[in-house]
Amino acid sequence: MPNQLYRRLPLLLLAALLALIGGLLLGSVPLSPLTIWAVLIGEGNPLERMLILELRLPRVLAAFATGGLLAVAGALMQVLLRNPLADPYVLGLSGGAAVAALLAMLAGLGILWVSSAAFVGALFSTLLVFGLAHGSGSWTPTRLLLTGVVIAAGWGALISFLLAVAPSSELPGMLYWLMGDLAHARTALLPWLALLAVLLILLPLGRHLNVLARGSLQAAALGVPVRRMEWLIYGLAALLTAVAVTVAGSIGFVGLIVPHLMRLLLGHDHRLLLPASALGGGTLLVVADTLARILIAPQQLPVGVITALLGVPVFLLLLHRSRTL
Amino acid sequence: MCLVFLALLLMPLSSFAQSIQVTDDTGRTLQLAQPAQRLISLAPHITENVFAAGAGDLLIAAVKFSDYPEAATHLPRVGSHTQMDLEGIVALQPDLILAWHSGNPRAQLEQLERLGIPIYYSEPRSFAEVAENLRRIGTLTGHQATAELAATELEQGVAAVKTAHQGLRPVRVFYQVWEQPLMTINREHIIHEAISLCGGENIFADVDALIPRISQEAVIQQNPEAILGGGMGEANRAWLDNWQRFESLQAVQDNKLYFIPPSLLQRATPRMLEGTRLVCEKLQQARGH
Amino acid sequence: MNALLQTHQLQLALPAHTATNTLDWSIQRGECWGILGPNGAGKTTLLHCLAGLRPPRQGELLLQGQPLQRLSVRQRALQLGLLFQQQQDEFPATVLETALIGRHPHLSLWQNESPTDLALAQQALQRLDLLPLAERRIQTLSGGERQRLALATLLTQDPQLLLLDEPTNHLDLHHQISVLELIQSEVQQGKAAVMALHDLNLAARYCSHLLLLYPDGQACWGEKDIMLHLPALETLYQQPLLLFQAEGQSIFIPRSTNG
Repeated sequence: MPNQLYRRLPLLLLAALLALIGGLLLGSVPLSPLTIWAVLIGEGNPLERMLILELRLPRVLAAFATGGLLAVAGALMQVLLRNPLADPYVLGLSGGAAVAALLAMLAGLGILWVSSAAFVGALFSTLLVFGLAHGSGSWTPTRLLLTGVVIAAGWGALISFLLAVAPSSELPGMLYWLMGDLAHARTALLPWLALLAVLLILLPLGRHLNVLARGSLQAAALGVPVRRMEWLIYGLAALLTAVAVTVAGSIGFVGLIVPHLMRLLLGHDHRLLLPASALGGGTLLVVADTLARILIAPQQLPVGVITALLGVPVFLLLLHRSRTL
Repeated sequence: MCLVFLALLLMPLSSFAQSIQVTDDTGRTLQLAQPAQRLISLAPHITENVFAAGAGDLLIAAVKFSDYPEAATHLPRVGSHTQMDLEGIVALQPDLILAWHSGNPRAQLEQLERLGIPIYYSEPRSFAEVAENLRRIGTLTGHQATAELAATELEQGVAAVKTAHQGLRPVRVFYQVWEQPLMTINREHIIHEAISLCGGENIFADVDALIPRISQEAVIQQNPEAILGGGMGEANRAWLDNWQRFESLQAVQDNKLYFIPPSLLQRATPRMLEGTRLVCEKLQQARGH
Repeated sequence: MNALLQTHQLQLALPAHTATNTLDWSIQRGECWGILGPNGAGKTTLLHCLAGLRPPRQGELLLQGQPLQRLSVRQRALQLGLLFQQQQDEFPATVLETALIGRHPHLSLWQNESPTDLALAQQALQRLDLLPLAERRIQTLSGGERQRLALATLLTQDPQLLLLDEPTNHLDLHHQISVLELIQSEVQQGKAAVMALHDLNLAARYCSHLLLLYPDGQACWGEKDIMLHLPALETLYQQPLLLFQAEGQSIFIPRSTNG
């Protein structure tokens, strides 16, 4: 049974490769595949090198890793909260990141500081939610979810407040950041490292996640160290989301839709689902970002618009044709 | 021997003449080895100022909404001021980018800086700074003479407006930037300067933010004598008409709601002089009642 | 010989359990225990406590002579299996996938399910008449089918001690009997079972031993024939009963309370 599903993984890998190549080939400046190949093997003129090596390649790589991070984080959050509607931002992570980033902008700090602040803000929000959900008793998924949703609402109010009192000179920059965009991406190294490290950690734990998805009591009865696993999942999902937010602001939709897309395509085995989500999320975001760059070029669209426009119909079609959910 | 002496004499002079140094509106110093020849403007007001400084023919691209003068509409586009097309910019190989510090996405600007393209940040907040911007653009492009002329003309025009309206009865004015949410300007804004030149008193001069959001209640409480509005289109009076239902407002009772085309007043360019004259004209009408 | 599971001075951590006496109980291989008691007496809590899922207020549990706390959750899951009263099905899965989950404690981190594991799961499904539904989604199952699937998962887990919280829930008459006979046959193979039951007559028929749990935490336990004592059961349930004998079986019928 699951074995025939494993055969679809190479197809996903192929799709990911095609998306990456497409992302490199397409842009507002037409460049031939030959030119790109020449640059990649170390030739080409300085202008072409700058276009490809400084602009396109880092952006495409960052898009792929960010999409992967968000999709894996989404899949983890869904298991942790035993709630298929969970996404990486459901526990207020992006809100914490946004408030910290906006504060850094108000303080007039550079983009590097803004990114670092976003990372710290995301982790702070994680700890806050976890600490508060823990409270006097032990936490349950429902309690965690409720705390997260309330904290997220609190962050939302703070964001509105900051936008209201911000000097108009800072306002556009703050709004761009909130929209989420891969133009922010400075390096693809950090998200790739985070993605690969987390996938490596999770590789042997896929079956644990399968069992955990059946509820914490059932999982405990089947020999899963539930509390430790939940801490680990929460920590990893928070880390992944924090890195994604740091790289590209908050890009919605990928973290919710990709894990479900992969469930529809590949079933519910997390040993397959997690790497597939990484590939699927990366592919979706690269395709979306490429379209955002070229669709009405030279004008650029926010990538979130495309992820939604692309993801919604594909997801609904699969949902309609499947009886899985 | 004589030649060598001559060369020694000329050398510092010539290097001095060739190195261009300018401080931009963010206080940063920009140095160019020679006058810029390929300019890209990242904001509509900058495009206008480049043309005004006589360097319009050096522009190789601009962003969306660069619609004045007419020649600017034919320039190739590199995205909008909110989302630039970095690839397009780099591919055009500009030797100077003129950017809007608070209007362009900072991440994209930093990326352009990292790629080593010189950037001049322009953000004039007063008529004096507009004139100064014209001179600097002139310096950066080697069009000092034309730029100086444009700058002087602007300064003289402003001075003339000021003298013409000195000593006139002050008129309490509300300037409406936007309808939803309701926004106006404080004393730091160049539009405040334009209103002041005409003998107007901006009722929200002392609010903290440059472009504050305010309530209708606050406007009613301040009870301005005249309301000036920008508006969506050049002739859309809908924003002004919305005030008609507040019959207790003095400006409404006396029918002193005036439309000022936003393109004449909301871009920090020499054209603002024209907009200022229009404001003065309306305020004079308001006094005449 | 070591008891399969032994409780030593056990008290459940329930606020209503105010009795001071403790539970010193041992479960041997080949025994099938029924836990009887009114709603809220703590039957589920006792089962969870035996499975090591919930700490007791005091006392100790010994699994084949070893303190339960010292064993890892995986070592416990190899010996103890628990059938829950309710199953959580937030995520979609097939019937076979769900049964296969039972193999989890038997596999190390890097191991995947082998064909043998698959065969065990299929065999368990077969025993519960579920094999034809193997590829069905669990969300489409009826309550009784879902309950049988939970039992199949437990059989796939193959623990030495089966802890069952109301195993006949949702089942039709035929399946109530076949499931209990299945449990009986597991016990006869040298395992043991402890099940919380509400049906006195089924308990009388299929259990070898009974434990009566009172709301205040008092308990008495022993062989079935001693424990099926009419006044004791009437006190336990606060309900007058009638006792009949048919085909050598004791049949209990509740009397009307307002008659």
